[in-house]
Amino acid sequence: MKATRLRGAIVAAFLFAGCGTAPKPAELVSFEQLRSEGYAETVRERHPDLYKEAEKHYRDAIEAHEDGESDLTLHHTRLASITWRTAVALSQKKDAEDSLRAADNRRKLAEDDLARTRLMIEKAEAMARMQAMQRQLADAQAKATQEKRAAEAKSKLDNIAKKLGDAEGMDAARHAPGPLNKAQASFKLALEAFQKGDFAAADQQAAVALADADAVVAATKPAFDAEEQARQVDARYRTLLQASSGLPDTDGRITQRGFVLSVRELFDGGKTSIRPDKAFALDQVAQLVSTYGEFKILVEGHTDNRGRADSNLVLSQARAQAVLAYLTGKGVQADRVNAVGKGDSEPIADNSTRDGRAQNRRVDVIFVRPQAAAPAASAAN
Amino acid sequence: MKAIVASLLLLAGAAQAAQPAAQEKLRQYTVLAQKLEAADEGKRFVEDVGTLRAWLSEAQAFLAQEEDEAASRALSRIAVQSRLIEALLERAKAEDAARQAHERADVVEKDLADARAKAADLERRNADHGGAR
Repeated sequence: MKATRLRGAIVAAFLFAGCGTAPKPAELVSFEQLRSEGYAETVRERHPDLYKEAEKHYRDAIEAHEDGESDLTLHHTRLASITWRTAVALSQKKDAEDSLRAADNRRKLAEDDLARTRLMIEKAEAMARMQAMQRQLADAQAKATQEKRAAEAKSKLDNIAKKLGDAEGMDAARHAPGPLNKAQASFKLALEAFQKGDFAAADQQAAVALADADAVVAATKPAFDAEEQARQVDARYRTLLQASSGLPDTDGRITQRGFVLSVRELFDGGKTSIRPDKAFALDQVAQLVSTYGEFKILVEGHTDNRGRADSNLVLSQARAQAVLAYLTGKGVQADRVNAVGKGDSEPIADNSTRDGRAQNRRVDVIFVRPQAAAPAASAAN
Repeated sequence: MKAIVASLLLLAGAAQAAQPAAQEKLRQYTVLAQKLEAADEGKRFVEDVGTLRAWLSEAQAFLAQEEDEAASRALSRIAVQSRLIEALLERAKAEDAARQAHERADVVEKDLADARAKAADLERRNADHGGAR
């Protein structure tokens, strides 16, 4: 038994001698791995006191281990490990604090940038509002322009329509059919453009149509006015004819020259003084001349064809002057009246008969037709 | 709490002090351990706090058995373990603060990205409308 114990002791001693010291405990090995990691240098720089403290504990652990003091080895290893972890935690705390500062810086930069960007947004929004207002203004201006153009075009079209209506009322279809057709075509084009809403084109076309309408009026109005005046003159002549119908020894008629009131037997044969018994009739003639004061008066003396023509001419001239003098003596303005002798050159009846000669011996008081009032076709006829 | 840990660490050097002094240190460490445990609201360091609790019990037992040397070593470990837990809590607090700061920064950066996109969109629209006018 003693021999067996001795052999065991010898083997143990031999093994102990062969291996040197006992293997390091797991905690110590773990610590050595921990302190060999890359973070060790950071720990040493940031927390040199803790680093030294951990290293001291580690050396104490190694020393205890070499002394075979396992409890003491474990104790110092724990102290070293805990101190090391403390240093690492504090170092990581500093990392976190650095990270915090970095985050705060990042946030501040972002906030500054955000403030600038929001300012840009405010400016851009203000710009957008301004542009919107400008668009609204431009739209309103365009609308106003369009409405103005529409109103102008409509006004022109109304004017054209009125002119064309007036022209048609003046019988432009008869007086100026070509210009009227042209103006109506231009007006139709302008009207179509207007109805399509193309007011610029309508305005442009309306200008053409307006010129065409003016041309129609210009071409129509003189003829119409002349006809109208002729109608008015003829109407006056008709009333004159009616008014003169009751006068004795007179014969009224409407001619192209005007209203001719032939007064017979004013003079005795070869005489140039008005017969007293004819004064009443001549007074009524003078009254008519005064009443129809718008007409010039031409007093024409006529004879029958008995006697010499030159004598008849002189006689007729004198008789015409006698009537003129009588009329002016009755208040007729002298500048309205002219007198002329025609002799026997313009008979109105057969000179071979007594009645015919009596009719030819006359004084024609002519209510002269104005030159502009050419006789209307119907009236003239 | 940090001041308490520092003063206790200084006292730990005199671990071979007499029983009454060791008992007083143990009591102070026990109070400190309660504070550290309460400070660990997220219960992230339960294991380290458990180790601290175990060593406090161990130290109590050594003192009761009047094994002063063992009690002194236990108090030394308690001292550095308390300091470790405090460092871990401070690190956690700093990391939480950093994380929150990054989250705040992320929010602001997202707001910034949104604002930049809006600004770019507005500028593009303005350019389009300006060009169209």
